[in-house]
Amino acid sequence: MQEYIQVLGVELGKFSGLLPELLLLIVSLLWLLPGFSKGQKTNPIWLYSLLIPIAGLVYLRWFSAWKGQSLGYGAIHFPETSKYFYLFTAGFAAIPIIGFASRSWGKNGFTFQQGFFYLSAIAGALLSLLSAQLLVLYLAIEILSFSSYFLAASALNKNASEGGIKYLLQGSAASACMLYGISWLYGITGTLNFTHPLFIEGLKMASPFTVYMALILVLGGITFKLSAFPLHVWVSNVYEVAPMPVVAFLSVVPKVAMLGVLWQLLPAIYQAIPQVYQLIGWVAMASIIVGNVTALVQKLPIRTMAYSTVSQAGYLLLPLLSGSELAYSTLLAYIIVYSLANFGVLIILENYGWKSFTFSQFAGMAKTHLWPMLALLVFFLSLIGLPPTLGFLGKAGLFLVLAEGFQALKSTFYLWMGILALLNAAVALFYYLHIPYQAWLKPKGFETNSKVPEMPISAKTWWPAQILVAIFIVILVVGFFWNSWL
Amino acid sequence: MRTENHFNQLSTALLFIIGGLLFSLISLTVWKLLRSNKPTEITQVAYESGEEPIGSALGGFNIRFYMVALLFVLFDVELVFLFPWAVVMGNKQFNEMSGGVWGYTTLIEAFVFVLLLGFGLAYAWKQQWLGWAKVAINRPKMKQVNREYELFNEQVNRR
Repeated sequence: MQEYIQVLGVELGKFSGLLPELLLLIVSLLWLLPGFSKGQKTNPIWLYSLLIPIAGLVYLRWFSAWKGQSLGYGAIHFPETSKYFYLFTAGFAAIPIIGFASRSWGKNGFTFQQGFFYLSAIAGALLSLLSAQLLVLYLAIEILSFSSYFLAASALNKNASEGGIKYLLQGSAASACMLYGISWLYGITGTLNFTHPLFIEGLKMASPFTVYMALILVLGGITFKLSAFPLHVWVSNVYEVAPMPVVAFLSVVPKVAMLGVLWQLLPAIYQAIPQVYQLIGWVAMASIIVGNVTALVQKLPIRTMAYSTVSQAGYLLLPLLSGSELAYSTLLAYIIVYSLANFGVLIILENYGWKSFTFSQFAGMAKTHLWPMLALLVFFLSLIGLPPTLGFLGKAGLFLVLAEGFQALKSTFYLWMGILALLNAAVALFYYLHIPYQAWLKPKGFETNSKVPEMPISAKTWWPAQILVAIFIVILVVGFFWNSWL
Repeated sequence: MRTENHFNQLSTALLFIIGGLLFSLISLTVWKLLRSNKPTEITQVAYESGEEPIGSALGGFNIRFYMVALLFVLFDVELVFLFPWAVVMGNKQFNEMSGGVWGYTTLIEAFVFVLLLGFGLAYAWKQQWLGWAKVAINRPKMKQVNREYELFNEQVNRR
């Protein structure tokens, strides 16, 4: 105790290293200040004000300093491997802001409250990437979670509150489990710092059953944010009720952050108990299969998208089975591929007013909406992982990682993982191509004369169009050249 | 030594008793000064937070008290956090060990904590989330019935 207190002044001085994130948390409070005045109406242009703190944060952290020095008695660290996760978290958080118009954020457009919660959610995600201590990690995840709960319910109607409350209850249960698991790990190892040698030593000494119990509890909290199998039930609910930019945010940003966290946390555990990779493998495989099968039987495209992210979360977990260089770059590549295509699909569904369409309403749409349908086809092909698109790179990388793992460890587990993942990629073909099938191959039926008003991308909302074109080019053109170059 | 300890603990209890008495006396006096005095049959009924004093103990509770309960829990927990802060963090030895940094750090930490909660409370107040949720009462539209209501209210007020 004494040696800790004596260096308190020095440790506090180091906190300037965490300045960007702390600034983001403080600055996010500014978005609450308009709530103190009478008028609650916002100008759509205020939506883009969210980009300023994000850009400032990325500038401060990325271009000026990524300090290797840990702070807060080793509770916060800046590992080199977290650098790209950090950049992706902040960068992908900016896309829903420019990809969707203000009216997509709710009935009255974007509100300042949403701005506050959006920024604090980003801060929570980034802090979780930097935490080297389980309790700090827990707090960071809670900042992310609580902001997400509000964002999910921020459409402020009856359905949204119902979905938000369900999300809140499941999330509370998951985070309680996580806290309990953390207390177990603390009891086993005597330290909360998972980069500390004592942590690994403690795990080695303890009985494997206890460690597995604790890990399952901790992973519960993390897989909840990752929307992986055992705790994926909230996804379809939130997808249906939340505003589309929030859906886009929740389907990508927490995933990237949690994958970064796992990338830091798992090596310590692998060192102590190498068999834990099987646990991750089972979680990944279960979410791929459950997500795929549930997505197959959905009636609404938006629910299909929801369950497909569950299976994508499973694919994203596969590189974590090994800790090699190849797995690292594959994980990052797959994050880019998945996020871009996912954003593309959601942006099209929202900006053309197709969010609540059924599959049959898309029949014959390719004749009337050639370009959006073509873009949707490319995005879906990329999500499946078929060759002309960028998605193929991601999927091919996954199988390379599994093959590498099989060669290194001579474990048939990797082999079975690879076979099941391949089969499931084929299953994904059916539900991802359902909309393109209706649009391109079915004749225009009577059902298509829907009363849902169309909201084409107009000159007023030119940002979504631009971002859409950019994603389209990246996925198709870059993917094409990269594939042929390989 | 032992007796001294006992005496000390008893004196704490005595302090609590005196504090409790003072607290209730002061609050009663303040209410006496603030409240209006219109003794009618209804206003003189003993009540607790709008609940009927006589009847089943398993009666339903007005959902609008949920807001009050939530706020109470919030600030109750805040106070629970401030007690250990006052006891543990106000440690002279630690302060000397760290060369005076300890005191400032813990003070600022607690202030940030309380200020954030205060900020939240002020925000909720300004957004009118603390107000008693208004419920639209569906009065019958018939004139005769409304007249009856008014007569009844007048009678009550006169009493």
